[in-house]
Order: sequence, then structure tokens, then C-alpha cells
Amino acid sequence: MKNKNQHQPEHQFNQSIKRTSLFLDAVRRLRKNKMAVAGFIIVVIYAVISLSAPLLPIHSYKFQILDHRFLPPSIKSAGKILLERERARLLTQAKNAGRDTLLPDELEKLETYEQKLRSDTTIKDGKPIRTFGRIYLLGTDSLGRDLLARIIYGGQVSIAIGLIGSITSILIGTCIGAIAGYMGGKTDYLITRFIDIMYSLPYMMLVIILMALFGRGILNLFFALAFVSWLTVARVVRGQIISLKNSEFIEAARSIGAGNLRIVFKHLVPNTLGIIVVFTTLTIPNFIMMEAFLSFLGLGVQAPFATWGSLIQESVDGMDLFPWRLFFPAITMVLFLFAMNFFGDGLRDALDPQLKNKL
Amino acid sequence: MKKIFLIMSVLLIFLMGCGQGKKETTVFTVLNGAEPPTLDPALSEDNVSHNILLGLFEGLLVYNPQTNNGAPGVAESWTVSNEGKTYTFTLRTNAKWSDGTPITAKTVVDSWLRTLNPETASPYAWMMGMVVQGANEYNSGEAGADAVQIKAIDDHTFQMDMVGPIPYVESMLPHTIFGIVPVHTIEKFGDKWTLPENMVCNGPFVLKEWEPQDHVTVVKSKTYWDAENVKLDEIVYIPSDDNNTRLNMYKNGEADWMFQGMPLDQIDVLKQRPDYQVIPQLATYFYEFNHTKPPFNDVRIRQALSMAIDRQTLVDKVTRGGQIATNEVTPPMPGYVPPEGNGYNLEKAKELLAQAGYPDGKGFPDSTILYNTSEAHKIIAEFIQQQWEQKLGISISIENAEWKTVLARGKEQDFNILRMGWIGDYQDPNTFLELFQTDAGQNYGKYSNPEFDALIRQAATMPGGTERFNVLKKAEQILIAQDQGIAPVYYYVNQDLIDLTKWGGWYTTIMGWHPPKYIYKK
Repeated sequence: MKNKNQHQPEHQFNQSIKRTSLFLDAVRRLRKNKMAVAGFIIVVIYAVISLSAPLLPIHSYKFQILDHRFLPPSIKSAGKILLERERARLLTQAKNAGRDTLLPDELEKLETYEQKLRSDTTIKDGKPIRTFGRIYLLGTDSLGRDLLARIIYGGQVSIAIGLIGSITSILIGTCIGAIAGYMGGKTDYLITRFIDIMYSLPYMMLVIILMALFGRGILNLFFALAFVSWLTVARVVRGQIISLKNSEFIEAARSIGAGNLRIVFKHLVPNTLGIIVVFTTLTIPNFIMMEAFLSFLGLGVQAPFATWGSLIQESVDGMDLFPWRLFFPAITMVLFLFAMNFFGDGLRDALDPQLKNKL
Repeated sequence: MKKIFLIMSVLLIFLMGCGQGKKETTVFTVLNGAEPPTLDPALSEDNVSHNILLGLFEGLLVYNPQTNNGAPGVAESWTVSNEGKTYTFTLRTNAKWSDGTPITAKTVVDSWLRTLNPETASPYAWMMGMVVQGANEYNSGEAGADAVQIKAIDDHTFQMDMVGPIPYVESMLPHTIFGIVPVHTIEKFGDKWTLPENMVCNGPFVLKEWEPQDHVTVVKSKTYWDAENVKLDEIVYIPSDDNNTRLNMYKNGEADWMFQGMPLDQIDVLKQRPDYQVIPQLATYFYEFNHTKPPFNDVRIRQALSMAIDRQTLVDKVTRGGQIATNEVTPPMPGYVPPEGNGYNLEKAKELLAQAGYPDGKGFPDSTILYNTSEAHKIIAEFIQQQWEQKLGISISIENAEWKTVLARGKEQDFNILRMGWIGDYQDPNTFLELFQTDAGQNYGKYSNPEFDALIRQAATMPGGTERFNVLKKAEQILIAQDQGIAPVYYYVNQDLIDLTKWGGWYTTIMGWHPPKYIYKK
């Protein structure tokens, strides 16, 4: 008879196994990566601000007040800035004439100018509004539109193009690549040749042709970009799957009767997720840049809508005079791209199936 | 100590060497704005190549540098006969090509026939067709070359018969399309005759180098009949088309003349510079409506849209370069004041819009402003779009495309509203008004009014003077005030950067042509 109180030795067969899913595991590991968490938070903040733009207390992104063009970023109201400008101008004039103070008639001129500024109104949506007290935190552009509003609304479009574009292209690319890699033989041959042919066509030309065929518009832009950018993903995924499909765990799965679809999407694709995720984070900036390029050709988003790319492009001409017009959209875009990269890096580490049940 | 002395003396010798070399040549560098598409006078249709050609070739007449009217060139003098319909030119005996071949009246005849030859496919041949009797028939292939009424009476006398007593012909003749080309080298080299190694010229300068996308260099011609009065030794044309790069090059002293294309954002600062030259140009910026499709085939809609544009605010606060707001299409010229068009009038605009069936802009069909890609056109389109939206309640989208696409779509009437500009080819209202004849090639909106067409045709047969101008005025009144065939926006200005304390012989002119022959260093 065995002694029941005898301490059992620890070995791998009598441990209690805590059930965990790939996802839970990933979240646990992701949370340990501080940069990734920071990146995630920034991306979420961007998403929230862009989505809630119509509810935020900001100016319209397309309403022009021409007297307010090229105002620098400030917490002071537009009227006060203009008034100070006028005072400074009169003072330099006085200095040039050898005086230190303003003459009474100049002071009077200043006062009438202030009166005029304070009573100035402009018609917006049929109602007169006073323009004196408008505050432009990030300054204005060449038509007197609020830059903050334009960056936020531009972010809506830019982020949407980045996300939707890369997600669609990844979905298409993964499915086609996985099928090609797993099936092999004729299917593989046909698909790879098709991809090769698509590759040999000039990429931008395809986008432009698609835009011309289906007409302009944001949705068509998403579609055109996604349609031509799944090729690389498909190739990468195919290569990964070919190298994995003869490994033991697939044989094991097959031996217990798993179907083809299950093997591909439950076992093979998750093993390539790392690469796919890294690729996504790389393509989002790419898409945002590409949109900027298309805007330049006149195939992107049409004015008065803005994207970060088009805001930057507009401001280049006057960057030495009005640096804020370049600086703020650029910093907004860079911050987002950095956050996206860190978050993607973290995700890759977290999603690596080889690290299952490990830190 | 010895070493320092050695270095100093080497430097000294070096510096002396440099000083000697520099003293001899005067180089004038021009930021020309783009790569010249061609250097063949018959094929040139843009001001970039025109700028270079002004130095390389000389026609019968040349531009007077101060007025841009016609002045004697290869033709020493001329007489007018047959009620102003026949011009007889006496050619200089000492005019010759840079390879020494003399220029005779026969050269002029051959050059003009080459331009008109349908096989040459000259894009501006129509301009010659407007003047020379029989030129249109030959150019369109309806008749042979002998139909063209130009002839060489003797070696140095050239005669042309015109379609009518064209009063402005002398301001047209300096245009490159009436240029004289070296027919003998064209026969020898074919299309390659404009290459630097093959090209012979008859102007004050000859082509030395043409590095595409880098520079075109011309040097003073030794065989030019008036060579002793040509002051520049060399002109370098730089084709950079990025306005900011160009501006920086100019500011750094890498160029002497920046030819137009100032970055819009920099205008306020540029206006303060003493070397910023600005003068009204013989050119108009306008929006064309598509007359073939509703709603723009309704005159009330066209008038309403035109009346709702606050042009003064546009030029004061958006373009800011000194452009002149206008409700008319023809810029004022000596003797011609355009009849008043429909000005900014919001009340009237709203009323007209309501009458046309769109009170407060409700139900107005989706429409688009089409413009060619450029920061300036974009900002103007955004301004006008906002005006119409805020003031009339009409939301119109804007769309940009590349210049060639815009022209192609214009020709097929594939637009609602189209941005256009027109630079007068000669100093007469006709250069603007003839565009809007029913069958004119540049009438993209297909504006058509038989009464207008008849008046333009009538003016073409009349001698110069008040009476003719009155007919043209009546035509413009129909085109603009009555029909609002287009919506004029402003008159362009020429904006150039050149230090006039350093360079002389460069004048601000309404046509914007600056013949390099007269430019000199002060």
C-alpha cells in the first residue's frame, strides 16, 4: 500500500494547466511592455478625438474669415492679436520718425480700429457672429481657417485611410497568401504568377486607373489603395506558410482529423500573425503618405477636406514665414506614426505563439 | 613665417587670376519656370520657350522693350497699301544666319509656309491664319501652299496680303509664330535642327548648350547685324519649376531674374522688396460655365453665381499680388474701355437664383469647379466655393487635375465650371473676345450667341478706330453683361524679381516680354 501522505515529486505530468487563449496571453505580455502601452493609449486618444470631432468645442474646419488669415498660435483672441499688431506697427512707424510714444491722433486711430474690430461681424450659416473673440490655439491658415479644427478633421480622414486601407489589404493578402502556400501545386502557381504580374505593373498607375474607373471619392480611394497593396502581404504569408506546413504540429493536427480550413486559419495563420502585425504597422504610415501623394496629383481627398498630408503640403511654400502651419500637422502625424510603430512592435512580441505561456 | 608668405602669395596669384577671368563676360541668369518644351518657333506655344526664343530669333518685327509693340527687326521698314490690307516689308541687307547664310525674302516665305504646313502641326498656326490671306485654307488642308498670299518680290522685299485691314497686326508680328527659321538647316537635319550642334539662329544670341532639366545657355552672336549693341555675353535659363526653390535661388544670388511664379504665401514679404516688379498684365482669370448642360445653360444661374463672388476681397486678401478685380473679360487698352459687367450684388443674385427655381440654393444639382493643380488656383477655388455656400446656400465641390487633363476635359465639355486664364497675344480686345465665338477652339463652355459671332466677324473687316471698338464693345456687352457667358474674376499681374539698380534695359510691360537684346549691366 502506498503512503498517501508521501509528498509527490513535481514533474511535468502532474501540473495543473491553466487554460489560456492566444488573446489573453498576448494582452498579458503586451501590458508588460511600457512603450507599447503608451503607444496604444496615444492611438486611442487620437481615435477618440477624431471620432468625436463634431461634438468638440472647436471651430468649423472650412469656415473662412479672411481678416484672420495667418494668425499665429495663441491663447489670446484674434481681435487682441490684430490690435497688438496694429499698435506695434504704429510704434515702429513712430520710432522711425524718432518718437518714443504715439501721437494723440495715432492713439485715436488705434481706438477706432479697436471699435471696428469689436463690432466686426461675419455671416455664418445665416446668422451674424462676432469675430473679435475667436481664439485659434494652433493658429490659422491662408484663408483664415482654424488649424486645430483642420488637423482634427484631417486626422479623421488620414487615420481612416491608414486603418481601413491596411486592414483590407492585410485581409485580402493573408487569405490569398495562405491559400497559395497551403494548397501548393497548380493553385499556388497560378496565384503567384498573378501576383508577379500585378507587381510588374506600376503601383501608382494602378491606383490612378482604378480611381479613374470608379470615380473620385473617399470610399473609392480606400478601395483602390487596398486593391493594389495586398501583394506583398500575400507573398510574405505564402512563404511563411510553406515553411510551416510540414512541421510537426501541423502533422499532429492533421492526424487528429482537422480539416484544411481549420489547419490554415487556426494553426498556420496565427503562427504568421507576428509578421502580419509588423507589416500592418508599417503600412499604416505608408497609406497616410500615399494619400498625401495622391492629393498632390489631384486624386486624393478634395478641398476643403483636409488630411495631414495635404495640410503639410499646403504649408511648405510659406514654412519660413508661418512655421506653425507646417509644424503642428507634422508633429501630429509623426506622433501618431511613432505611437503606431511602438504599439505594433509590442503586439508582435505579444502575439508570437512561440512565447505561449511565457512572459 | 616662410610658409605663411608662400600661402599668401599663392592666394594672391589665384585671386588675381580670378579677377581677370571675370571681368570679361557678363552673364545673366534667368529662372525661367519650366523646361522649354521646344525651341522651334513654329511649335512654341508657351511663355517659357518664348522667353528663350526672343533672344535666338528675330522676325520681321521685334518687340519694343518698353511698349512691346512692333519695332523694326529683320524688316528695316515697311509700307501699307490697298486700304490697309497689304504690307510690303523692306528687309535688311546685312541680316544673316549664324552660319553666314544671308536672309532673303524667300527665307521668310519658306519659313511661314513651313509653319502653315499641316504636317508641321503648329499649335499657333491659327494666329497666322487670322492675318494672312489664304493661310487658314492651306493650314486646314483645303488648299495648296500657293493659296497663301505672301511673296518675295525681290531678294529684300517681302509682301503679304491680309484678310482685312487688321489694325493690330504690327503688335502681332513680333510673336514667334511669325518667326523666320533656317529652312536650309531644317532640310538637312529634320527634327534635330534645334540641337545645339545643329542650330543656327539669326537673333542677337545663339544656342550654346541645352542640358534638359538643368539649363539652356545662349551666347552672344557674332554674326548678328546689330551685334555691337548687344551687351550681354551669355544668358543661362534655369528650368526649375518649384517656386520656393526658385525664390531661394534668387535670394542667394544664384540668379538675376525670377520670371513670374511667386509662392503665394510669400507675397506679403516679397511686396516689401525693392526688386519686386509688378505691373498689370494683358491677361484675365475667369471661370467658364458649361453651356451644354443644365443648370448652367440658364443665364439666371450664371448671373447669380457671378454676382455672388466678392472679387475685391479675393484680390485684396487671397491673391494679394496687386491683381485687379474685374467683372469684364477684356483689360482696358488704349482707346478701349470694356463695357461694365455684372458686379457683386448679393440681393440680385439671390433673387435670380430663386427665379431659376433654387430659392436659397435648395435642390441645386451637384456641381464641381475644375481647375489645374496649383496652390493659387486651389485657394481661389476654395474661396469662391465658400462664398457660394455661405451666401447662396449652394454647395459646389472642387476638383483638380493636371493641366493637360483639364484641357482635354474642357474640349469634351466634361465639366460644370472650369477655371481658365487667357493671356492676350496682341494688344487688341479681339484677342480675348474671339475665344468665345461659337466654333472657336478655346471656347470650352460652348458659349454660343449668333449676334455675338456676327459682331466679331463684322469687327474683323473694319479698319482700326473708335467705330471698330464700338462694335467690339457691343459684342463684349452681350458676352458679359447680357449673357454672362463666363464669370471674369481678375486681371493678372506680371510679378518678377529683378534688381533694376543692377540691370538696365528691362522694363515692366503689359505684355510681359523682355527682349534680352536690350538688357545690360549698369
